[in-house]
Amino acid sequence: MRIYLIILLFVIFLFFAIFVYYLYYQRVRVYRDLKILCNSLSTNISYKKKSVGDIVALNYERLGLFTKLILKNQSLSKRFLGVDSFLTVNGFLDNMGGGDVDYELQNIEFYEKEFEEMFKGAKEDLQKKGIVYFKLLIGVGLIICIILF
Amino acid sequence: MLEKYLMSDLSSALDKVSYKHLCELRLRENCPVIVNMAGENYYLGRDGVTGTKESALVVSRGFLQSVIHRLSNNSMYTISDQLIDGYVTVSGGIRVGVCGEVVSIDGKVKSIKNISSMNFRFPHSIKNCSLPIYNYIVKNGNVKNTLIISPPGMGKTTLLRDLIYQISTKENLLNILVIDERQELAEIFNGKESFKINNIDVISNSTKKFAFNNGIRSMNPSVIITDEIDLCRDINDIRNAMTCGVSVIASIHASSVFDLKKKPLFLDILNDKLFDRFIVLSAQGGVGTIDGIYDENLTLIGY
Repeated sequence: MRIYLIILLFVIFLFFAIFVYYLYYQRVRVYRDLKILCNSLSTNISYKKKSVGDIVALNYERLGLFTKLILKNQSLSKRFLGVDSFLTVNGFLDNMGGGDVDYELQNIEFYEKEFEEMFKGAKEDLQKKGIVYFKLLIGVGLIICIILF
Repeated sequence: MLEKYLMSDLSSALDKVSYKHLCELRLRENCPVIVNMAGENYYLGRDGVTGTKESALVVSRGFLQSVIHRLSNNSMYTISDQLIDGYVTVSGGIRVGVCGEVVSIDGKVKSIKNISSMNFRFPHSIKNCSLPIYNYIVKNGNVKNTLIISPPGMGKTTLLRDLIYQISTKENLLNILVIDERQELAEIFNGKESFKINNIDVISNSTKKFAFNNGIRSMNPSVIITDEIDLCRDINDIRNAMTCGVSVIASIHASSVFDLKKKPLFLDILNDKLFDRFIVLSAQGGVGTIDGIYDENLTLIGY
């Protein structure tokens, strides 16, 4: 019975380790999706003049789960991305569709560069913090299991 | 019917109005909402048409801004070309005229901002309304060059729409090119035409100059049908089309033939006998009344 509880405890720590790493990975995915969306927007706006809603719908299946949630839910977006990043993403979403073609293309180009910087930052975080937290949680879990054992 | 574009108060009030007679919906900043039913103006209240100004709905500037964003599907760049011309076309061929402050850069109109009024014009299909004039225009597969003369709002677009349908179904080996500058004639929205008939080609959302020149070269039409020509701007393109052997049916804004005769360009058209038929519409007897059918010498031949 005791051995099963120890295994269960280890599995819980493993789950949290994977979950934390997953969150860092998803942040990278969000910025990557936003860059792809910018690219799709500039192509479809300049030539086909499709509406913003149509372009997002076109790309919707390719977007990650967290990207979809962020496009729909502001409070989750703020907590997940942090205030500064949230304001940038929100600004991008708010400004879309407000002007003529030239304005839209300039706007998209500006935000694409912002998302590129945020993507690089998120990738660094994944490689440094994500992996550190993963190893830390696994390590702590193992130590606790050994102590209990 | 316009729930997507108008807020619930206005859209539910409009649902209480008979669409069959609804011609226009006028929205003006801080003014009562007005509807035009079969040529007469009425105030629009919460429960539909109302006789008193006090019980009419009133719209604010913010409301009008919100409507224009909804009309564009929150993508203003999709309608910026149309806005420059002062209108937006939405599904069902509804044309929304827009008034406000023009934004120009280097003398070129870029957009309209601070929109202060809108006019929704509702198209109606009246089947067979062109039959009284059909035999004057089409004989043995030959279509005569025809000019439909009418004041605004008297049914010339409805007449043209039915004429397109009648010619295409009765003369189905003719190639008909419809030049639909404002996306009203073929009721095009998102590239889909409201009527699907085999022998019609449609160039929409384009200037008449481009459509005439390229349409003739690429589509080899037997007849071109277009709405609201401008004597100064379009007459040379029409003349060239006729020289190529293409029949042209067009419409023009004027209160009467006599009003048109005051314009020197129209006298040139008469002298050159460019058009074989002139159809005049008037409001006497209701919208769409055919006041007279004239030949190339402006001699009355029917009514």
